[in-house]
Amino acid sequence: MNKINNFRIKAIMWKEAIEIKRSSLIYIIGTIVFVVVMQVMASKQLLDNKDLPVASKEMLLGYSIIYISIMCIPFLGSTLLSRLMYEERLDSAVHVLLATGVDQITIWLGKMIITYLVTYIVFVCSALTYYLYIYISYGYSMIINFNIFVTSFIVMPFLSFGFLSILGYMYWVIKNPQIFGMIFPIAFTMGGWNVAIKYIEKPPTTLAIIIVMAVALAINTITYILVKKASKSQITNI
Amino acid sequence: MQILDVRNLTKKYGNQIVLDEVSFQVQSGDILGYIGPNGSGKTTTIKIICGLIKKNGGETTTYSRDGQKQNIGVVFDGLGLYKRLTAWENLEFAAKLAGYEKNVYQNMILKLLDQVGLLDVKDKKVKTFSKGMAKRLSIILAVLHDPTLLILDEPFDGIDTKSHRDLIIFLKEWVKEKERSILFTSHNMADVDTLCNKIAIINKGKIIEYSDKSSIAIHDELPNIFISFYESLEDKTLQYIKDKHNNIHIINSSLLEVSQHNPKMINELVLDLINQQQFIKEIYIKKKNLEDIYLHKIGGFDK
Repeated sequence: MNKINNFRIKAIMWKEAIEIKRSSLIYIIGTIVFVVVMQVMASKQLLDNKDLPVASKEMLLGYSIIYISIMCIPFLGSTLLSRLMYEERLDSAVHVLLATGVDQITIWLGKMIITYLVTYIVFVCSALTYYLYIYISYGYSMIINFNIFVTSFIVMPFLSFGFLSILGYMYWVIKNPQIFGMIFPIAFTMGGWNVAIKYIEKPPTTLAIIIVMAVALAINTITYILVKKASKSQITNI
Repeated sequence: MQILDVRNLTKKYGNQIVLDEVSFQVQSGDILGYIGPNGSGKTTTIKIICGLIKKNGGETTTYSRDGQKQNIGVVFDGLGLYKRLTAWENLEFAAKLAGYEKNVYQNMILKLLDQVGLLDVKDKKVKTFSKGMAKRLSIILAVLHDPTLLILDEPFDGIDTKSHRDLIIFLKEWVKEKERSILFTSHNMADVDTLCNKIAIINKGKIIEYSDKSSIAIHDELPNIFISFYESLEDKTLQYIKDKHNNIHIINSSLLEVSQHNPKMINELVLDLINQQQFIKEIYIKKKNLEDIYLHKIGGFDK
């Protein structure tokens, strides 16, 4: 990535951060509240179980943070991408950028990076709120060991970012992408839920983590190439 | 210095030819009015020049000073502004994209906002702007990075008289001061007449006139003569006049237009009208303006 693209990507991220703050702040707060409430409800059975030792409960509660990442990142990311990419195509704002020498991959990267950042921060805030709520209300201090940390804060978010890249490509290039925006987050969350259950049953091996990360990286790379190959006419034809 | 060279540009959608071997050039300092009816191919040409649509044939080349990458500034009909951002933030975004440092772009933005009378509303969100204010903002946004060529698609559509006048003054000064060029489309011939030094008329995808405004051929033709009457002429009288004299156009029952005339023909017509007991109110000459020329060209092409 050369110097020109870097400062342009930063400019696009700066603009999108303002747009997100003004258009999606309530949605972001709502996402945190919704995710925490859902997670507390889902953990209710575990919290009320008197037969389990405290250490096991705290370990399982720690693993439940995985669910927060697979709920938070795809759903919030999908909404943000719809606004940042599809809306901008609809109201022709992107035509001017493309016409004046800013290439499509620079714009796409700027929008994707800010989406990754915002969704990750919201995920961390949700996890922290969940942690504090459980600690204050029930007195349990969740155990976040290396495996839980890697799985919840690195592997699953990376996989979610891969998914967001595909969705970002669709919102950026395809003519009527709304249907994908509806189906993809649900499909990904359901799939991610199953992966999370497996992780909780049996902590992941280093190889499993490497495979998941490689898949996430491959998805991101393929999407990057697809966006780079897309023509400006595909983006403006809406 | 040549700024834009469009040669034999062709665009097809299926079997339909949208642009048929379109050619024109823009030199440094030129303001080229690219005019034609709706659907004639103006916006398609602009989008091809900007790289937003693929062409089927021909070449478009833009030249810039000092290898400048962003050598085009463009305002489309849809404006391309970010409505949730303020006027200042929209301009700051464009400046950051162009790679300007903060201490440089702050003064540039202030100057431009002042030039188009938007300094007082710089911190207001664009969604609160009137159409005229939004147009003014979109134009200074397009010139902020100092492009060699400014492309404007219907820049004065639906704006109030003051905004209209301010923009024309701003654009003329911008071209003159910086020796830049403008390619713009419009339906308003008065704007084209005021602003342009060159005109290209496109109809049904073909360029039917391309020359300096002063040298458009029809300027040399005789002006039209209009004859108005105190009372409406009867149908049979109108028919009689029309049958007897060529080149008479009945605008309404009390107004006739005579084109392609000579003094003898006018004398005979007036005598005929007097013999028919018709009371002439006024005979006057109207010199053809650009709109007449444009309509003639479009009509001529249709025939």
